[in-house]
Amino acid sequence: MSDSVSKPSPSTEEILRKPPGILYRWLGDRIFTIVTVILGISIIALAVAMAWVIFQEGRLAFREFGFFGFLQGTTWDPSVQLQFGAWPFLFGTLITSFISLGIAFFPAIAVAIFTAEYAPKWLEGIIDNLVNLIAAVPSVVIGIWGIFVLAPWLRDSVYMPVYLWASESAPGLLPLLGNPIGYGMTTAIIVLALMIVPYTTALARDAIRLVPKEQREACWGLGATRWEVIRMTVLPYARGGILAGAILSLGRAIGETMAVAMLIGNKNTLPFSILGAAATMPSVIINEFREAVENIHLSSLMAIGFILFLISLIVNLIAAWIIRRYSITGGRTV
Amino acid sequence: MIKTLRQRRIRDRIMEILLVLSTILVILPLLIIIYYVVVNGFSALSWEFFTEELGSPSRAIQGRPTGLIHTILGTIVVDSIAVLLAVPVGLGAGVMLSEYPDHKLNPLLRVMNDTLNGMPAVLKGLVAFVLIVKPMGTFSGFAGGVALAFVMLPIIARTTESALMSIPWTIREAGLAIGLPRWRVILSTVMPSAKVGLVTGGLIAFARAAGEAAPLLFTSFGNNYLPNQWSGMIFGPVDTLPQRLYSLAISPYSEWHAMGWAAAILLLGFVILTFAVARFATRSKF
Amino acid sequence: MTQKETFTAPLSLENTFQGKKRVKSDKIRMETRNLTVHYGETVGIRDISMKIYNQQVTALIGPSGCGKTTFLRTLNRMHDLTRIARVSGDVLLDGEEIYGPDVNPVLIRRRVGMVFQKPTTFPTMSIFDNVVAGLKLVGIRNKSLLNEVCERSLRQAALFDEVKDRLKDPGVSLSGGQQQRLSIARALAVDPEVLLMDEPTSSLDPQATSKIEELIHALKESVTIIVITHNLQQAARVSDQTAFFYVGNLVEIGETREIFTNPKQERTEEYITGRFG
Repeated sequence: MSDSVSKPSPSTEEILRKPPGILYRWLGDRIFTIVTVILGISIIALAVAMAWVIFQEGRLAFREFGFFGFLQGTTWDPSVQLQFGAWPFLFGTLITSFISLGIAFFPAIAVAIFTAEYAPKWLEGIIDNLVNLIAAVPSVVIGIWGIFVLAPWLRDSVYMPVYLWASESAPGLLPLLGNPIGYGMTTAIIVLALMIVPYTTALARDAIRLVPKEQREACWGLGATRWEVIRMTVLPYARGGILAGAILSLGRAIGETMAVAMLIGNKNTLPFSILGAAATMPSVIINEFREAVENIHLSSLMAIGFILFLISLIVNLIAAWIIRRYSITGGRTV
Repeated sequence: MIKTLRQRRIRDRIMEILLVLSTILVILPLLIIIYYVVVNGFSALSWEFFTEELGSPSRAIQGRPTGLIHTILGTIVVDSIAVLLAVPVGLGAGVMLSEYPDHKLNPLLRVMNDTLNGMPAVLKGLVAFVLIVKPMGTFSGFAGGVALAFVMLPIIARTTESALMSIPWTIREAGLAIGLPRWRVILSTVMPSAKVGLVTGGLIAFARAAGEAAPLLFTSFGNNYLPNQWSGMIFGPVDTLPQRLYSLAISPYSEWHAMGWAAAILLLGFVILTFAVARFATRSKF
Repeated sequence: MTQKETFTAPLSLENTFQGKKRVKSDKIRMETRNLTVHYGETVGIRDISMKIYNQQVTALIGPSGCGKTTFLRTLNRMHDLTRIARVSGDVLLDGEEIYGPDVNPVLIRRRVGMVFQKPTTFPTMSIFDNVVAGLKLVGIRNKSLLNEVCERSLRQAALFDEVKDRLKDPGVSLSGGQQQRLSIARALAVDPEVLLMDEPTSSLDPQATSKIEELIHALKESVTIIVITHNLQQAARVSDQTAFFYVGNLVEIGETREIFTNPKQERTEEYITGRFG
């Protein structure tokens, strides 16, 4: 420790020993913490505000038709009666989401099993990236492909033949089949199924990769074949992740908007038919919002938005709960 | 029924074949989509595409020059506004979750963030409509930016938290040990170390938001023409790629359909490129 | 209790060998000839030739990473699952080459069972289901037969009395030592001729360890056992024949008593007296 001899310029030691500016003491930390917390709180505030805003806007419709009245109402008449009910869209959303999940589930798991257990390393990477690519393609792009490529093909190769066959051999089925123009429930379901595959696959694949090597070896040691090892120990061990992936996919299917709106044909009244036009909650919002004039019309669309929000919320909460409860390996989030 | 080894091996084989078929079933449509977008889109791209505005349908029908320059510019403006709004808030929330792990509000913040993340984008558009468009009295690029910021925000918060948490706690202790205040430690030692993860997270959030059309339909709304000044893009209705793609595709004009494919190839290329850069950045960490 | 014995203190070792009967069997259950395993470029084990005698316990000892596990895994063709492993040489089970072109590894693994270092209880199955897992694989569904085999295997693993009232409880509700015995019961349920044990007690406490050692002793009447252990005292207590591995080579093999009291190779002596490893 040298004595403080006055020098023309401060020595290193003096600089180091100088008391730090106020910013470097408590004030700097204080400010930083406050700013950070404010930013964090704004997310909380935002989430709450969103729910509140949508509910408020939909209030008019809920008051007019009653909450459950609106939920079950089957009339959607923006022009004459100005009467609105959400049931056709709720029904459409539930049917399209669940069926598309049903279609997509097994192929998605199959891809996860194939990449994690069977594929050689180089192929594993390629398939992983391709699956992620499906999730990355914007919904509108899939929509335009659907409109100009998939729907016409389905109409010509599948719907029309089925329709013609039915009109000859089983005319009773015709109302059930509906109008085979190509834009409708089935087309939307097919496209949805494709779009939600990556979510199940990603979570299932991660869960499968977490199964410890020793578990597999124990099965091998008992004289199991490859598939038996998978069925006996890998899949049960990974079932939490697999289930969570399925629920997450369901959530995405419920909220999927653009591709569905472009392909589902937009029929606002029940009954829906298998091949014919239909509607979902997101699709009716997209299709009618820009043109809606009457306050009650707008409010009804917002009310549908609120119901969509509730359903989405419930599904996400269930997915999170499943990950916590059933996962042997603990929670993993995508 | 006792199963012989032969039966078990046959079943093994069958399952293997099923798995391969399923994988092909999933991958094939993706390849088909990309094929069509590239082929149809490429042929519709032209010099005019990048220099002209859209104008009325008659322009395209009569064969006069028409393009989507205003859409491309509008997309840049709206996306930039979204980034400017979402990044600070997302970073802040991520820092709060990771650097102040004992904060009482954190569990709530996580739940709210996950909720926000799981909300369909169309609802975020509706909220932006009510909060920005209605008071402003007009559709605007700003509203569009806000709506996309709502989409980006939860993703950035989550990826930031994740990136910062992967930095070992000892780095923070080392900073504190040389007398740095906490805020300096976070800004100058932790965040630079997590640079790659942070940027990647931002890119991923950006790519997701850039592809969304639903929120933009109620906020920036769309515009067939290029506004006279830049401010027109921010304070008035403006065209963006995803929303324009939707409009072109559902329009009754085949000339516009062709331009829709071109918009599709642009949008797809842009999103894939962004994801690829993000992925590449994380790999070259090693 | 240290793992290393000093050569000049045979007293404790004598105690170990005191009550042991010298059972010499001439029937060879398994044999290896010039067995070599390559992992890519590196050699795992080199030119191992040894005989495993029926109804005896063979212990494999040696420092870590010297090829004991590699050797053990050749005996039930576990290396088939590792892409870069190449096995050359002969491995015979009851006189037949197990790596023959027509031989199905699945069948080999039913005759040569394996127990691992950590218990590998299947977490989604009950105790009962864990034990009979191997039987269910071949499609045996007969309830009474399954019950019978389950009881027999659990008795052989000295676990039956502790779990007989809660066979339907989840397998993971047992303690570590119990789960290891459960793994043994599971391996025994398929009635193997040989049982391979890779450090079966290294993750267990002393009580559980001694239970398993007693178990090994009782089991060898019905199953030929090969056990890897780091615990020299354990090897001395439990085995009839001991093989010493060093850097992928089989340095010495012989009757356990001889190996521990009068080793022929200098390396062996150094290891046993604790000069290294």
